[in-house]
Amino acid sequence: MTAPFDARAYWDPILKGAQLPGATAFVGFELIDYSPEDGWCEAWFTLPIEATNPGGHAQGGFITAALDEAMSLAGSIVQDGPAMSPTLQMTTSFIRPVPIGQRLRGRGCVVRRGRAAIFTEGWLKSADDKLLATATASCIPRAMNAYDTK
Amino acid sequence: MSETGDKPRISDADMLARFQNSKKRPPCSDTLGMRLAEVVQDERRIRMDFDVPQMFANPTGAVQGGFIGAMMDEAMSTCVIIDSNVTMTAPTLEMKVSYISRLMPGPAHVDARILKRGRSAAFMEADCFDADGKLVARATATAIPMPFKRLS
Repeated sequence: MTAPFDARAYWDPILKGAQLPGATAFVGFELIDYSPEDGWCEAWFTLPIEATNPGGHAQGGFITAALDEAMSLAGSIVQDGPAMSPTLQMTTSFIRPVPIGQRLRGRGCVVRRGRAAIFTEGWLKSADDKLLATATASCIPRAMNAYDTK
Repeated sequence: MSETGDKPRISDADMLARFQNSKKRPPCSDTLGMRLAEVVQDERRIRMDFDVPQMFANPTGAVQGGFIGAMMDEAMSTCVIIDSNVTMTAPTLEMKVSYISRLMPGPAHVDARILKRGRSAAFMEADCFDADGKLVARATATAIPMPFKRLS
């Protein structure tokens, strides 16, 4: 028998490593903590100047991108093995203008982990704890080796 | 045509030129490689071309969904500005995106349209297509129209 999947041994180097994927690096991801057992992930996000909208704040799509990172990670780490959680549908509520270049606290968590679907939710708060945006999403559990990355 | 009686319209071609020649593009437009490609004011729709940079890929090589959302938000917001004859902007309240298929970095386009632009709310819809014309995502959004302030 193979040893049971050690989620922390697998995810620690990925989430704490210097080699973040482009999309993750763009939104200024810095891991705070995560729990494979409970299915949540918290991180700091800092949106770059390149995400600025005409009003001088963060464009909504980039806010969605930051939330998608936290929520997809929550959906990934909760699975039994190297996995991803491609998003099927995501709704973001833009509650307050989101500043550029400031550290924001983001959280993604699993609401329900089913066999065929995972439901997640997330929020983004300012450093002084004001709620800036919330989101809900549905995604599908998918083992990493199921991906053809060609 | 709009419900709010804006000043006289300029032609679709002139509107397109106005945006394409604008020197006041917000940073997010350049980040996404955005280019307004078509304006049809009578049908309250626009087409926006994108060239999605490789850096927006997730570990599978496909574009991370949030950035597809960014493209669609950009197109739907621009659609409101044009539909109001550049008198209004519309901060997005809520956006929902359905990810129908994978999108790889590179050329893509978004068709956005106004469902309704009232005084206190605007409703928009957008479809995102890959370089082969395959539908990869659909979005709906609500926004609050506000008088347009020029970037300084």
